[in-house]
Amino acid sequence: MTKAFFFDNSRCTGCRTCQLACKDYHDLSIDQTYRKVYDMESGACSMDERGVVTHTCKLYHVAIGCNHCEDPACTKVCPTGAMEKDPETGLVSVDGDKCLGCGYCVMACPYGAPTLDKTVGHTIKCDGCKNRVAEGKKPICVEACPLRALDFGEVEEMKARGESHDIDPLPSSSYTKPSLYIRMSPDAKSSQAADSRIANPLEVF
Amino acid sequence: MEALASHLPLILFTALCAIGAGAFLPMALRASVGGASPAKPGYGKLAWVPVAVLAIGFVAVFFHVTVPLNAPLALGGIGRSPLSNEVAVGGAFLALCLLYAVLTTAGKLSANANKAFLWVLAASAVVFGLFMGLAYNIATIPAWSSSAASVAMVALTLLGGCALGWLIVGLAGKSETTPKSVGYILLAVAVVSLVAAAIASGAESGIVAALPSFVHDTAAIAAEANGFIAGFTLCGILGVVCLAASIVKPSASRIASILSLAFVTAAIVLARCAFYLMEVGVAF
Ligand code: SF4
Ligand code: SF4
Ligand code: SF4
Repeated sequence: MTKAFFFDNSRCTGCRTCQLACKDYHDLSIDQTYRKVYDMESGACSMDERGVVTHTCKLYHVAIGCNHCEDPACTKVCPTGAMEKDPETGLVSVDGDKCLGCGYCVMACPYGAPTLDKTVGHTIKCDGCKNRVAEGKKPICVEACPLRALDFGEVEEMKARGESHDIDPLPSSSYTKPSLYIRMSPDAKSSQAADSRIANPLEVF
Repeated sequence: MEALASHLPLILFTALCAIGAGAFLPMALRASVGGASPAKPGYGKLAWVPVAVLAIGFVAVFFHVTVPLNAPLALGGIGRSPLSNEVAVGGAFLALCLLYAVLTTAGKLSANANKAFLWVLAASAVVFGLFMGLAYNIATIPAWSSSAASVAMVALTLLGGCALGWLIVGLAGKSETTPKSVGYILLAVAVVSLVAAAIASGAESGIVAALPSFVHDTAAIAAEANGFIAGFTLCGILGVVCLAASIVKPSASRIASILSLAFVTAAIVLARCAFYLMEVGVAF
C-alpha cells in the first residue's frame, strides 16, 4: 500500500530532533542531512507616538525531507533509472550502483531532497527509511519527534488528517504531488506569501 | 559564477556539439549547389573536423558525471528521461558522422551519395540541436522547460554550423567556386539564428526575473544573464559580419572565416553561460 507522511505544523516547535535522529540513524556526515527544518517568519514591530510597541510577527517551522511524491520530478528526469519509486510503497530512493552522478534529480527536485555526494560518487537522499518500513516500523524521524508532529502511514489515513499540501516555503504541490499531508498552524502561510521569509537560510541552503 | 564553474563541462558539450553538428549544413548546401569534381565530390579528411569538434564535446560531458562507466545505463531511460533522449540522439548522430567521415575519406561515396548523406547529417544536426534543448525540459525549472530553450539551442546549432561549415568549405578549396547564392543563404541562416537565439534567451531571462523566490534574487540573476546575452549578441554580430566579409570578398575569405568562427564560438559559449545561470527552480 502506498505510504505518505503527515506533518502537524501546529505542533512542530522546530526542535530538530527529527533531523538529528535521521542523521544519527543513517550515519550522515556533519554536512549532510536528509531532513531540514525551515524557520519561517513574517511581520514586523512598530512603535507608536506613546512608545507602545506592537507587532505582527509570526513564526512557524516546516520539517521536510523527501516527500516521496506521487508524480516525482526526480524519477522523470533520471536517465539511468537509479532514482526509483517503489510501486508498492511509493517510496522514492536511489540505487547508488546505477547512479551516473549527473545531478539531474538534484536540479529537478523542487524540495532540495537529493544531493550529489561526490565522496561516494552518487546521489543520496531520504529513502523513507525503507528498511524500517519493510519491517512494519515507522521512519526514525517520525518515531523521534517528541511533539508527535510527524506521522507516516497509509496514504488515505494521512490524507484524512492533513488539510493541505501547500505551505510556505514549499513550492506549489501541483508540480510533483508530494505524498505529504499537512495540518497548518493558524500562522502558516501558503503560496509564497510576499511577507514570509526563511529565517535560517544559512542552515538550510 | 560558482554555478557556471560546475556547469563548465555542459557549457563545452552543448557549445561544441552545436558547432560541430551544424557544420554539415553549409557542407551539404555546397555539395548540392555549384558543382563538384566527380572525382572528388566530398570533403576528404576535412570531414573529420566537425567529427573531432563533436567528439571533444562528448568527452567534455564525461567530466560532468561522477560515474562515467554507468553512461550506457542512460539508454534505459529513452522515452522517459529527456537526458536519455539526448544521449541516444547524440550517440546516433555521432555514429552517423563517423560513418560519413570514414566513407568519404576512403572515397567510397559517389557525388550523389555524398550529397544525400550530407543532407541527412544536416537534418539530423537540427534534430540533435532540438534534443540538446529538450534535455533541459525539467518542469520545475521554468526558464529551462520553456520552448525558448529549445528554440535557442537549434538556433545556436545553425549559427555555429554556418561559421564552422563555411570555413570547411573554404579549406576544401570550394569557396572560390561556390556560387554567391550559397553564401547568401548561409548568411541569412546565420542572421536569423542569431536573432532567434537572442530573442529566445531574452525570453528565458524574462521568465527568471518573474519567478517568486524566498532565497534567490531572481531579478539580479536575470540581470547577470542579460549581461551574457548582450555579450552573445555582440560577438554573434561580429561573427556574422566576418562571415559576410568572407562570402563577399574572396581575397579575405580565409582569415574572415577563421575570425567568424572565433567570434561565433565565443558568442555560443556566452549564450550557454547565460542559460546555465538561469537554473532557477520553482523551489524556495
Ligand atoms: S521530494 Fe524531490 S526527491 Fe523526493 S520524490 Fe519528490 S521530487 Fe523526488
Ligand atoms: S544523479 Fe543519479 S539518481 Fe540523479 S538523475 Fe543522475 S543518474 Fe539519476
Ligand atoms: S524518513 Fe528516514 S531517511 Fe527520511 S527524513 Fe525521516 S529518518 Fe530521514
